[in-house]
Amino acid sequence: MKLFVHNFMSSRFLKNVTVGYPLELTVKQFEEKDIEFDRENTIVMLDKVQYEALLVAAAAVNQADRIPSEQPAKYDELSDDQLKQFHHILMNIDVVDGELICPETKTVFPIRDGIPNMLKVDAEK
Amino acid sequence: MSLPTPQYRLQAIRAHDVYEPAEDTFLLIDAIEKDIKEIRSREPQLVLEIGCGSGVVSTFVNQALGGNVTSMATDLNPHALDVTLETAKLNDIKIDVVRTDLFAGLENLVGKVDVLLFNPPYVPTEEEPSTNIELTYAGGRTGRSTLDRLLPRVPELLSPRGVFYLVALHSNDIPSLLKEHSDRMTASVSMERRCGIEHLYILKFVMKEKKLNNDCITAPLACPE
Repeated sequence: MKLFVHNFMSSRFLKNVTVGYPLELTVKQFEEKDIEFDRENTIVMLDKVQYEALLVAAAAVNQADRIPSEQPAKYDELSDDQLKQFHHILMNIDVVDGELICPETKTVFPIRDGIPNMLKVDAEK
Repeated sequence: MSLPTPQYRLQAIRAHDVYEPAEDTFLLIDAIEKDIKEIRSREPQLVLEIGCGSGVVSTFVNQALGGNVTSMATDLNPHALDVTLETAKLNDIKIDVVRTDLFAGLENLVGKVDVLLFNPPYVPTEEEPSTNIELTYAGGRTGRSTLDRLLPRVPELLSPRGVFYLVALHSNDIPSLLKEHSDRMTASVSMERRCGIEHLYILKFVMKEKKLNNDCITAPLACPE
């Protein structure tokens, strides 16, 4: 599971959860890939991303220092080097084994072999 | 120019009750190939397939869009996700998969999906499905039990430049499907084909451009944000 996926996940679909976002992320194992960087694609992707949750994901792999702690005003004004750091967090880090945790109910959604399982029936067992 | 059909391993698909690429799969691929220039002109970034099965369609779309897009796919069946990752790898592309029902747990994709793909279980059946393989085709009495759970949420899921491709059967009531969300999306029959007893359709839904409301046009200064 690439880290950008975490940004789109929430546990709002569970009973009695009001926000359910961002999910807490525990990473037991991850791989670093070398996906080709494309400036425009990275900017478009960043425009879809919620910044606070991105910081949570980056911190989960101890790489929050790669990106600013405050959201940049305009992504298209960043240098290639800065955008490459974002690209690395979003696309290169692949979580193999870990857990996504609902911030309210602490329901655990496991990530195994790189595949997160968001099935409610499994989580509530 | 014809785009190649992705490679896939039938053995793995058959061993794990994953829906095998069939006429409906290939009709969806043909429809996307026919529209590929128009889809590219939308400059899509995020592609989501719900119920990816073998992953052949997601792989095709990723390749057809030049590999510059980010592809996500969901399925209930864990074997389908394994096979999708394998199909992606076989074709040297990347797909991120999530095991879930429709897009449960991915609600933050709302308004962000540029290309949405759905080949639902569409076959009218007496009973609701229970096994993995039944889940790949059985659509309940109208054949629309799964589709009718997703359809109401499609307009919110798509980005303003979003497009949605849907596989349907004649017996799913095509005219009513085309009328669904006619206020927010433009619907059309992209392709249709008779395959044995099945009369298959690929329906295409495109987000309408947001229009100014009438008050704004007559009294622009009084228009609230």
